[in-house]
Amino acid sequence: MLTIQIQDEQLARQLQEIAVRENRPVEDVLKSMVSQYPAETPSQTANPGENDPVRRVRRKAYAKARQYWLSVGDADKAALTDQALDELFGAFDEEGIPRLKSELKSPEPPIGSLAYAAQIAEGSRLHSGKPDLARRTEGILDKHFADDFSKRMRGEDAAK
Amino acid sequence: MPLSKILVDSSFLVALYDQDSDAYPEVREIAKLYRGQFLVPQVALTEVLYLLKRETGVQGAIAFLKED
Repeated sequence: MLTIQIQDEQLARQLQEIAVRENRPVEDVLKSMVSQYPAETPSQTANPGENDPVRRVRRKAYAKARQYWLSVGDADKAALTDQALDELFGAFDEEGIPRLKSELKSPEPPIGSLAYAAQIAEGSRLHSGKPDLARRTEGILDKHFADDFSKRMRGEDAAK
Repeated sequence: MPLSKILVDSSFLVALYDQDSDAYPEVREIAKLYRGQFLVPQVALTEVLYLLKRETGVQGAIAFLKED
């Protein structure tokens, strides 16, 4: 049981008056008032970072890392919270083993790694102006790739 | 079982290189977290080059090929 004290005397009196008038306990009056508020939707109750794609990626990575740490009996690291890992987590290394920043061989990713590709891509500063291009790749390839490739083979796109 | 090699497809690479892509922040974060080798099927390379040249011009294809 939870006891709530109403400090506002006028409000307490009003609640009592309503209860007397309606011939029911104060608790019932409060229940019907509370029921008028819509239930929280899942998006309201979810973690505020849930919709942030970067947070989502990191949370999944941390879950994978914890799974690994538990499998090798490293309970200390497995107990690190997301917040702590935001500070401490480095990357999955060349062997796929999760490493804290302090455990990485070098702050720079090795050549040929996915992290290295990310670095190169970031430096290329390529902007298509088309936010949905990656999502449309399959469609574009299905629709145009074979045709354009055939034209190219026939030398029809020499002017392009 | 640790994941030491990652196979990526054309749309992942397009999203990783195209900073205007909706998926860019997510894909970049995934890439930054994995220091394992990544594998690209030859056909995906051809597809990405084709797509970037078609949608962003020769400069896009050059940016993809360029390695500092």
